[in-house]
Amino acid sequence: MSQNDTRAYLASARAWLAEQAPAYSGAARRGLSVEEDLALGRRWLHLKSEHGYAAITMPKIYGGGGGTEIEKVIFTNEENNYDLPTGYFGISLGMPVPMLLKYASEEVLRELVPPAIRGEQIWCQLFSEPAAGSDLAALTMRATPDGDGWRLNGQKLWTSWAQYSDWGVVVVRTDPTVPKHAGLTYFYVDMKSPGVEVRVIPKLAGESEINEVFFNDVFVPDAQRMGGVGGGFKVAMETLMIERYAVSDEAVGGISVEKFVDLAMRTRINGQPALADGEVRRLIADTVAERQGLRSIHRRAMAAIAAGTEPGPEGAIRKLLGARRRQQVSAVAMDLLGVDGVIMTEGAQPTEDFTESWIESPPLRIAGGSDEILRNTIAEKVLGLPQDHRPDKGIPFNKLS
Amino acid sequence: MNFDFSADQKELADHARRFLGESCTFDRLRDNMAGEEAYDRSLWQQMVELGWTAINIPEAQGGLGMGSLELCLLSEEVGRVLAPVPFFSTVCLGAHILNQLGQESLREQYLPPIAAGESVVAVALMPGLGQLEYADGCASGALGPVAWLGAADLLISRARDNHGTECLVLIDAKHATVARRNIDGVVLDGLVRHGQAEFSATPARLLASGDEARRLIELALAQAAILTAFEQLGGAQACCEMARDYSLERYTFGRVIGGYQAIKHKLADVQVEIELARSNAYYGAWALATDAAELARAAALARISATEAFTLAAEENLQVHGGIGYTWEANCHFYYQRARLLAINYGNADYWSQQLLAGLQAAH
Amino acid sequence: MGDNQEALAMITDQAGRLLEDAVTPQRLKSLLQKPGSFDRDLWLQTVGLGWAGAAVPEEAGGFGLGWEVLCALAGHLGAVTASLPLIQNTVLVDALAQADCGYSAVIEQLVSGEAIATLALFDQGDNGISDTPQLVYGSSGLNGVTAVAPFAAVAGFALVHALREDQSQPALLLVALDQKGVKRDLRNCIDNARGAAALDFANATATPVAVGDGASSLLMRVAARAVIATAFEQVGGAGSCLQSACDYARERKVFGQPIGAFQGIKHKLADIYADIEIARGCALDALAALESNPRAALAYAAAARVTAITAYEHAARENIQVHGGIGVTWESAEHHYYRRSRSLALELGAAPYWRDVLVDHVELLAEGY
Repeated sequence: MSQNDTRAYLASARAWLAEQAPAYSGAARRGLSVEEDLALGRRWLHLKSEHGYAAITMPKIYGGGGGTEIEKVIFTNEENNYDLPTGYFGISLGMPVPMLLKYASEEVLRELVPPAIRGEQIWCQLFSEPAAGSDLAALTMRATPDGDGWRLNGQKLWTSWAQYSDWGVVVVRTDPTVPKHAGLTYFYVDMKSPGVEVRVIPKLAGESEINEVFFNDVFVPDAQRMGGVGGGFKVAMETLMIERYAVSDEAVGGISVEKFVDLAMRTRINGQPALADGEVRRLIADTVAERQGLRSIHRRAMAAIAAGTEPGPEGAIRKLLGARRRQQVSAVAMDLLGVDGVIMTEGAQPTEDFTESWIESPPLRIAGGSDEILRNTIAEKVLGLPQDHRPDKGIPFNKLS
Repeated sequence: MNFDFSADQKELADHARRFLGESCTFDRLRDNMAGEEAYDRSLWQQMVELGWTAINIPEAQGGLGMGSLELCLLSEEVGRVLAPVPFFSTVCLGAHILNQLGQESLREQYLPPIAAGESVVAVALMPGLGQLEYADGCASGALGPVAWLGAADLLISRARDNHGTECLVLIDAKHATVARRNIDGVVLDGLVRHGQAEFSATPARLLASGDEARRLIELALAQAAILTAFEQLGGAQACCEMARDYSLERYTFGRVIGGYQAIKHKLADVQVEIELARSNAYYGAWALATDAAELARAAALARISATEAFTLAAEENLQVHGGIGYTWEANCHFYYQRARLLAINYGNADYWSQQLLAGLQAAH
Repeated sequence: MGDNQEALAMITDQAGRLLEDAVTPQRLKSLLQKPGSFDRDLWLQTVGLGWAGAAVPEEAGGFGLGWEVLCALAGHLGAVTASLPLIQNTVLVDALAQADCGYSAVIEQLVSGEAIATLALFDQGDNGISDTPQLVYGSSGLNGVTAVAPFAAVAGFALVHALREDQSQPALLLVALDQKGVKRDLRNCIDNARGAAALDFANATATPVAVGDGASSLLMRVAARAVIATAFEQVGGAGSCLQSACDYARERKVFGQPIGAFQGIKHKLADIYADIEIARGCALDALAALESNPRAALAYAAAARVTAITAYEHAARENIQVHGGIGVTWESAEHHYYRRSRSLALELGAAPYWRDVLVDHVELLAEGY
């Protein structure tokens, strides 16, 4: 894609968003219940699908945009400037549906993909379990053969948006007698099947998207298997790698450093202006310098995508630094707000309120790759350092202690 | 702004890396420290032959007529090997300042010898390093410590005239009225020789005064910040590679230490800082090359990030090496000292934070 | 072992057992859900055991076990994130005893635990103690609104910092809160279990406890003592976080090993430990300084405050991180500590303010050992 094409795409996306987005964002969302907000989100996705802005990289025949990766990144970047109800569909269209495009038959695709792209149906991803998070291959949920299909039994955990999902992709253990990576198989499953039970897990603060999902003798036809029997780990890894570059906003959902500067300008420490305080100044300078570096990394990733090459693993840096920085800056902001910094304002968003930004920050350092896993990725992928010691390597799963 | 270096520029950097990698070894640094010469004259001569002293000087004055981007890349390579030569003060600052002067006669007189490698320049721009008074074509006062002052042919310095106006003067550093000496052992990094000098009615050329002097100094400080950032980046990268290599060959408890998360995560954090520093240095390079309106901001950002990255990389490199890390035989100390020197040269992190904040406040 | 030491050992031993049984996660969660919550059952139970007066000198009607017992109890409360106004009651009794007599009835109620105290020393927007209070006390009584203060929702008496209009000087006032001129404004807070409220005074009746320079020095005495006891509460909470993180790190396995075997976790826990021990050291020194070096007590208090804030926040934050996904659920108890760590970090003035105080008095800490 040439620079001119990119610019033209950006200009038209920006103009379209300026016209359409306000009716679905900001003030339009204030005071809505989660159900109302989700309904608004479905309408927004439907509208986008009519203009080629939903599932931009997916084929037009299924309702996608038929566009390129860089168009998707450009559009998402612009879309992030509005506070739109898109979160419900991020996983659905980001991972399970693209996997379906790789593994399902034409007939299945025509039936299942269009409703997902239009926001009528939502897909979730059933991977983690109570004893298998970072170490996914340690999962224990079983699938046993039954006629022309399988019976699923066990529990999944941390499944985002399962409470609203119509379909899900799931990794289960089909053979416990082989080493742990080798005994897994991957299916897609109807979340309305008998025996599926979804329970929302309240978070420490804020609306919860996370669930635990119980499978009690749930039948899945073998036709819904994706990949070979015992090949599930590979498909799961493909799923996790599919999003080549996750576009998040600069403050990882929290409050901007400019608002912190504003706050420092109108608060005082021991009678002196907070902005004159050396520690406060250093924090601002470090935060701004870090953000500037992240901006440049982001631009280079965009350029790589535009040139059709893979962005480097440095994309991991954004989340690693961004989440910790949000927590730190928000806490200092509460310090400046003072004794009343503990007050939670009804309906306040983490993008506008330091207290909200602080209390909702812990999950960011854990979900989607914890700080520790991200550091491992950088150390192994960029610096070529060895994997951690793995005493479980090569041992049959049912022989592990 | 979507900046990257051109293929030609990258080739220049590759070549510089190979050349310096072969010629500027740690043994050579040790020899230089032990020797009498202020800087490594034969390395300097090789750089002259490669055209590095001519790089940013116009062709009309015997130079190669390239820009600041080439300087950025060479600074990174010089920083990577800690080359003990006055490249920064002579080329990055000296030639740069002279290039900016309106008077052609001055440029004609002073730039060709720099391009030809016959003139080494020391530069004194930061306050607090002594004071020169300028009047009637002469300068008096004392300066120091200033890098390479003991070995320089020319000195470009900040001064005040008898009305107290800020000005920029050029002095023949070898003039009989200049009493100068090297101050070895006083400055922490023995590879960058610093000198002190007293001036008594020393003949001086006035390069600029008042607003023009301030403009030149401000520009030179931005140039210094960004090129220092590249030097720091090179040093940080070298530290990270050195630590990684060591962690892959050193065994404890039956495994290479690079397999333990304490080392892995430490080096991952260093790599993260380097990525940020590189991004901000590139932003600075772009601002410098395009004379962008945000030059001052870019300079501050580049400098803050680079100082953070090099400091962390040098400290952790030493730490990863363990006991051997603080011996003279291991080479970690070269970077450890250089990291601190560059952290305080031409404005420390607090200074550049102030610059950045002043910009942010002005934007309000 | 002297009588006091025996009594001290007995009461703290008993406190540990009582709190462990009484303060369940479910009880705490129900408190967190409603603004201005207070565990009155627990308060009455501990009052019955004499905790409210344990530290108060015998001549004021207490058991005379000293600040040491208050700090020990605060540590136990912190360890289970229980919120009781022991520090507030004890510190207010001390302040009233410093002033002229005439408060014996109030002191009696506070020592017996019949009444609860709140220290409402901050104006809205304050992050530290101000020389120029915004509340005004004049001929028409006390007027103005304080920042939220712990236990203000349930307290009978408040110590308030206000400007005395007729003398244009700051004053410390005692205000009985059950009167017409007082409104308690309950706000939803990150930690609702603190019984917090903002106090809104409209021509309220109040009694000056100290005025002018006397008010300033008494205010700093109050602040220092509250800060020191709170530091023990913070260290107690941090210690529980570390213990919980270590327990989880031993039990949770990934890649065939307990996560505690990975240095990424192991070293994180060691760093928390180091922070806690620094804070504990500062808190113990500050407690000792109340007796041995009262002139420097404020400086010691400031050191205790900043290290306790750092240690508790570090421990609470990384405890959640070590727990991973489970740590960010409502069901887990880890967020009780996360909330409490931030709440305690703000209640008596935030870290930037106390760092400033520390630096202002740094010469008082110059002498070693």
